Amino acid sequence: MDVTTPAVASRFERATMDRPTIEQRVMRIIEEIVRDKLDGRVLSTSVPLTEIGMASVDMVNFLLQLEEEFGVQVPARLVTPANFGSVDAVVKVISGLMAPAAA
Amino acid sequence: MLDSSSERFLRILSAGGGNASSVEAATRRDSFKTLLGLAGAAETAPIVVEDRVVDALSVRVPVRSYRPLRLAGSSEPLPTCVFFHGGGFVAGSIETHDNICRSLSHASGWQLVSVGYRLAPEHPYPAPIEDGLAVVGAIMMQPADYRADPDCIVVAGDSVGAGLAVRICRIVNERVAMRVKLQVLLCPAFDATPRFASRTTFAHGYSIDADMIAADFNSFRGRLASVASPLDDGGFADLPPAIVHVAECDPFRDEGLAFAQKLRSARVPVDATTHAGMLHIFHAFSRFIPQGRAVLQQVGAQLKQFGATRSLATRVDESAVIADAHG
Repeated sequence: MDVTTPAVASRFERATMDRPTIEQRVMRIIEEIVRDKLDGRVLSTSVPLTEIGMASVDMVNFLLQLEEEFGVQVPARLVTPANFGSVDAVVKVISGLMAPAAA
Repeated sequence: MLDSSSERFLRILSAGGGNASSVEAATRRDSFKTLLGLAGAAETAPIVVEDRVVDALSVRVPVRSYRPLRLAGSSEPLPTCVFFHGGGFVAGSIETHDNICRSLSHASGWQLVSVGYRLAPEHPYPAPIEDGLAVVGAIMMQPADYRADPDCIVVAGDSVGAGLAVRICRIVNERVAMRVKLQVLLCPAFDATPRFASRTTFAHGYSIDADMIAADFNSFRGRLASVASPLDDGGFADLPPAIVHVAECDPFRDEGLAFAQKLRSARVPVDATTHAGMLHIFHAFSRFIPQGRAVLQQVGAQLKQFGATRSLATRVDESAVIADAHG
C-alpha cells in the first residue's frame, strides 16, 4: 500500500498529533462557534465553556466539528458536562480517543 | 429505556448552558433552526422543489412542493401530502423541515406540500389553522393547478404540526364534500395541559421540557382562556384513517397513543407504531439517531402502500402504557 495516499496520511497525522496541536484545533473550533458571544474576552483552556456562551445547540455543533476534525466518535459515556466543561477537559477526551490503545 | 444514540444526543444537549423556555421568540426560532440544521441529515435524493404562495380565503401562505425528479417530465396527477412542521407554534418553518419533506417525497414517490403557516406569539390561534385550511382548500378546489390527484390528498405533520393537521382534517371533512383521505402524525403533540403519564415521566431532560411546552401552548392560545385539544373534540368517526408514529421517551407519547385508541374505538383504521428508546421528533435528528432516517423511510413506504391500495389496515402497537386521567 502506498503510504502517501491521503487517507493513510490523514490517519498518520491524527495518530501522531501532540497535545498542543489538539488544543490549538479545539480552541479554533470553539472560537468560531462563539465568536459573536466572546465580546472581547480571551478564551483560556480552563474557562467553563458555558460561561463563554456555549448553549445546547453550540455543544451539538462542537461535538460534530470535533468528530470531523479528529476523525473520532465520542461515545455516549464520555459525553458528560464535565468532559465538555472546558478546553482542557475536551483535549483530554480527544487525546484519549486518539491514543493508539483507543484505536 | 433510552436508546444509546438518543442518550448521546441528550447528553451533548445538556452539556450546554441556557434555558430555552424563557427566551425571545426570535432566539427560539434561531435555536430550533440551528439544531435541526445541525442534527438533521441532508437528503440528497433527486427532488424537484417549487416555492409558491397560496392566495386563498383572505390569506397568503408560502408553500414548497417536493416531487421526485423521475416524475418531473410527466403531467400525471400525484398523490399529495400537505405537511405541517412542528416547532411549538413559535418556531419551525418550511426551511427547518426541508430535508424531512425531501426524504418523505423520495421514500413515497408522492408530492409533499410543506406549509409556511404564520407563527405565534405574533399570530396565535386560529392563524395557523386558517393558513392550513387555505392551502388544503386551494389544492382541493384546484388540484390540477397543484398537480394533485384529487382522490388522494392527505395531511401530515410532526409535533404540534400534527395537531394542526388533525384540526384541519376535522374542519374539512365535516364541512365540505371533498375529504382528506389520510392523516400522518409523527410524534403528535395535542395537549396544552398534561393529563398522561408520559408528560410527567419525560417532563425534564428529554429534549423538550415541560416549561417550554407550557410556554409554547400559551403562545398558541393568545388571548383565549384555552384552545380545545384534538383529543377532546368529538366526531372521531368522521376523521380519516391515520398513520401514527410515537417515540417511547417523548412527553407526548401517551397522547399520540390515546388519539390512536380513540380512532380505533370509532372504527377508523389506524396504524400506530411506538419507537423504543426514541425521543420527540427523533426523525429530525438522524445525524445522531439513525432510526430517524429509518422512520422517514417507513412512513414513505406506508404512503406508497396507501396510494396503491387506498386503504389502511388497523394495527396498534400497545407496548406503551396509557394512563388517561380522564378515564
